[in-house]
Amino acid sequence: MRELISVFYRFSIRLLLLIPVVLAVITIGFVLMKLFPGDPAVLLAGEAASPQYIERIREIYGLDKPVWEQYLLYLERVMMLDLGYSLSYKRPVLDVILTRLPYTVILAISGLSIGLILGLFLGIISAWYRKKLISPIINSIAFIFYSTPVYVIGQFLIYYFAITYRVFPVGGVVTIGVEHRNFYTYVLDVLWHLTLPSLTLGLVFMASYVKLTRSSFLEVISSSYFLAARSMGLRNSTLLFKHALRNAIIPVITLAGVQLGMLIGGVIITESMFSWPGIGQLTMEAVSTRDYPLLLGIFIFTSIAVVVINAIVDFIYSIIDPRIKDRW
Amino acid sequence: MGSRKYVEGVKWLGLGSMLLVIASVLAMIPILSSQPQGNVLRVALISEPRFLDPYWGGWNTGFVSAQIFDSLLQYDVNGNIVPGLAKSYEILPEEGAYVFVLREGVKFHDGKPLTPEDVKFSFEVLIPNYDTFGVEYFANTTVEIINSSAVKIKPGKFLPAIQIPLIASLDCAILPKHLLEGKDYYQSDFIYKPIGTGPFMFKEWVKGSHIILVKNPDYWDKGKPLLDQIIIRIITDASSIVAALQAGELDYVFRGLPYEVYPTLIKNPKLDVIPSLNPPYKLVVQFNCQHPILSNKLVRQAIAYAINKTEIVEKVTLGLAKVTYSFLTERYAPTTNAVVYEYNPAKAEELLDKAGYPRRGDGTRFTLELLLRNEPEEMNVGYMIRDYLSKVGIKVETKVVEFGTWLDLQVKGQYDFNVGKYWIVPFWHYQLFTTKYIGKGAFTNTMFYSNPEVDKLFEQWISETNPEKQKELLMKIDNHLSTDLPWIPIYDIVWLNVKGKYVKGPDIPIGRYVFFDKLYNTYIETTQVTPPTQTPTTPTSPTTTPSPTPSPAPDIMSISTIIIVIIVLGMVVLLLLKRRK
Repeated sequence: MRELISVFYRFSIRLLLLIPVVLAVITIGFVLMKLFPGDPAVLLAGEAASPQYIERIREIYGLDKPVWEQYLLYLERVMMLDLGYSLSYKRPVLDVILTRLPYTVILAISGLSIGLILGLFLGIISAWYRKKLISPIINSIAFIFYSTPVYVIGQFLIYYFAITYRVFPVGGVVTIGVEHRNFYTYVLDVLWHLTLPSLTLGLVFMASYVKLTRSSFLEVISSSYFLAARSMGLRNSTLLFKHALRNAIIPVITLAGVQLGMLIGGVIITESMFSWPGIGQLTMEAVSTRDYPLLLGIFIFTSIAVVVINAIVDFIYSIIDPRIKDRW
Repeated sequence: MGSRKYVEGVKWLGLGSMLLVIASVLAMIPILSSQPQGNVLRVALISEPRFLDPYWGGWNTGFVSAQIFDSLLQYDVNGNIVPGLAKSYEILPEEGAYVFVLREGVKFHDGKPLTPEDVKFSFEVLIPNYDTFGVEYFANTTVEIINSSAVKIKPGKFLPAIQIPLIASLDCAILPKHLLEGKDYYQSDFIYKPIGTGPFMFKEWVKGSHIILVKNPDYWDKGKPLLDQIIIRIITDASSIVAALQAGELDYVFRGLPYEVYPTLIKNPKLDVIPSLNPPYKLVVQFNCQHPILSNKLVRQAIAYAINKTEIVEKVTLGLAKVTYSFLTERYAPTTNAVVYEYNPAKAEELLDKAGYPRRGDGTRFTLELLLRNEPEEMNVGYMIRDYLSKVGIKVETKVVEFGTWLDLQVKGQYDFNVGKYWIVPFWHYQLFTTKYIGKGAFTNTMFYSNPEVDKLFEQWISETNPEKQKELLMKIDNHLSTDLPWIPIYDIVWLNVKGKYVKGPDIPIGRYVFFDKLYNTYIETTQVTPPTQTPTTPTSPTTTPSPTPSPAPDIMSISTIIIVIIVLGMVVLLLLKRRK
C-alpha cells in the first residue's frame, strides 16, 4: 500500500512538471517565430500570387489580428487540448501529428533496439575480453561510427545495399503500387523497408552504447562485491547476468530513455534520407511552409513525450535497481 | 580464464541473432521481385503538395492536379492552345466576352456528366475567389448559358492576352458543381480527394509517402491516357532521389535535382537525362529602383557590363544553363530586341565615372548590400557577383536570409539589390513591371520600377487579341526593359528531367505551363522483342497487355552475397563445434 501511494505521489509530481514545461515551450516557440520577419500569408499563397489573393488569405487565417491576441487564443485552445489547425494541411494539428507518429515510433524503437542490442553485446564482449585482441577492434569500430555523421552512414548503406546490390529499397515505407496478398506480406514489406533506416540509426546509437556499457561493466567487475560473488564460485553466466549486467545496465538505460524521448521528436536527417514519413519530415515541412500552429504543436507534443518517457524510464529503474525504489 | 560455458552462451546468443537476421532477409526475397508491373509510371516530388486543387497550390500540387482536372482549352505538346473540354471557342471583342462550345459525353470521375452549370459555377464562384490569378483577372465574371452545350463567359475586365492563356491553364479548371456548391472550398474534403474530368483519377494519398493516380477509363479523349497508373512518391532529399533513380525505383523526375548530379546520371546507361528549358525560369539580379544610387540607370547598366554571365554559367551550372539578355523567352517573343551587355569591365568603370561615382581614396566607389536567400544556386551566383563588382570598385556586402524574409524585405523596399529566380510569362511580367503594381505586396513590382512607356505598351498588349501583334508589343517591352534594367537577366534555368530509357511519349520533358502538364501520351515501353509498332499519338495503347517479363528477381550480386554470408556462418559454426571437442 505504502509503495502504491509513493508511486502515485511520484507520478503526480511528474504530471505537475508538465505544466511549466508546456507553458514555456508554447511561449518560447511563439515568441521566436513571431520575431522572424516574413509574411506567412505570402508563403501560404504559393509561388506566384496576386496581392488581393494574399489579402484574402490573411483574413481567412486571422493573421491580421494583433500578436498578443493570437498568442492568448492559442494558449486558451491548447488548455482544451486543441493544438490548433494546421495552416498548410487544413486539418487539426493533433490529427496531422498522430498520422505521422506511428512511423516515427516504429523507426525510433527499432533503431534504438538495434543500437541497444548491438551496443550491449559488443560492449560486454569488449569489457569481458578486455585483454584480448577483440576489445580494441570493437572499440575502434565503435569509435568510427561514433565520429561518422549519420548521413554518411545512411548514404553508405544506400549506396551499398540499395544501389549496388539492390537487397533493400532506397526509401519509403512499403512498395507502392503493389497489392499485398495478406497482412503477413505487408508486414514483411514494411520490415524490408525499415531495415536500412533503422540500421542507420542503430549503428549511430550502437557506438555510444558500446562505450557506455564497456566502462560501466569494467567498473562493476572490478568492484569488491563482484570479486566476492566470484569467489563464491558462482557460475560465469550467473555472475554475468545477475551480478554484472544488472548493475552495469543502469546508465545505459538512462541514456536510452533520454534518446528515445528525443527520437519521438523526429529523426530529421534519417527520415528525409529514407523518405520515411515521420515527425522529423513533418517538422521540416512545417518550418519551410511557416505553418506556425503545426510547428508549435510538434514542439509541445515532443516536449510532453520527453517528460513522459523520462517518467517511464524512472519506473524501469526502480524495477532494475531496488536501491532507487527505496530512495523514494 | 572465463569459463567455457559462459563463452558458449554468449557465442550462441550472437549466432542465434545472426541466423535470425539472415532468415528474415531470406524471407524478404520474394518481396524483392514485387515491383509494380505493367504500365506504371513512378515519379518523385521533392516536396509534398499541401492539398490537390487546381487553383491554389504550388508546382507540386499543380503537377498532380493537372492529371485530374481539365480546362476548357489546353496546351498541346508544342505549347499551342488547343481545344480541351470545349470543342471550339470564339472571342467577341465588341462584347468583351468568350463563347465556348462544350464537348459532349464528358463525365466527371464520379460518373456525373459535365454540364454548362459546372462551367458557370467554376467561372463565377470558384475561379474569381480561389484561383491565384483568377482573383485578379477573372473578378466579377458572369457566365451566360446559351444552350445545353454552349456558354458565354464575360469577365469583369476583358483582357484576352492574359485570359486566353489562363483559360487554357490549370488555373481555370472546371470543377464539379454538384460536389462543391454551398461549401467552403478551403475547408472542403474535395481538395484532399479531388474529382475532375481528367485522364487520371485520384486513388489514394498517404501523407508524407505517396499519391496514386489511376487511369480514367471514360476519358473523353478516346484511347488516352496510355498509362494505367501514376505513382507519385514524396522524396524530400535530392540524393535519395538520385539513389532511387539509380536503383531503378523511379521512372521520372522533373524537378529537384541539382546540376551537380548531371555528370553522374548521364553515365547511367538505363537513364535519359534531358536538360530542359521549360518551364521558362530566369535567374536574375533585381534592383530596388528607389535606392539613391541604383535609381540611376547608368549604374545598373554598369553593373550589367561588370558581370561575366558566361563564367557564372560555367561555374554555377556546369555550363548547362543558357546565358540570357532578354526579359522574355523565344516562346513569347523573339528575343533579338533585347539590349546585349557583353562582359566589359572597362566600360562599366567608364559608366560609373560618368554617373558621378569615381573611385575614392581606398579604391571603392560606393557600398551596396546584396540580398540573398539560403539557396545554394542563388548564393553561388551572389558571391560571384560580389567579386565582379569589387573589381570595378563597388563594394558589396551580402546578406543571406530565408525565403520568407527575403520576400518581406523586398516588399518593404528594405534592400539594395538581390538575386532570385523568376517564372517568365508575359502576364506575370505585367504585374512585375507596371507602375500600378508598386506597393501591392509580394510577387508584384517590388523593384519600384516605373516607366510610362512600358505601362502604355503593357496596356496595349493586354487587350490585344492578335497573337502576332502581341509578340511585337512584347518585343518593344523587352527592348525598354533591357535598356532600363530593373533586372539583369543572368541565365535561363535548365531543369534536369531524368527518366528511364523505357519511358516514351512526347509529354516528357514537362513544363509547358509551369509543371502543370498532363502525361496522357506517356507510356512504358516493354523490353520485349517487338517494340510498340504504333506511334505514341495513335489512339490505341501501345502496351495494352501487361508484359509477361519474368519478375525482376534479385540480381546475382545479392544472391551471391547471401550465399557467401551463409557459407561464412557455416564455417564459424563448424569451427565452434570443433573447439568444443
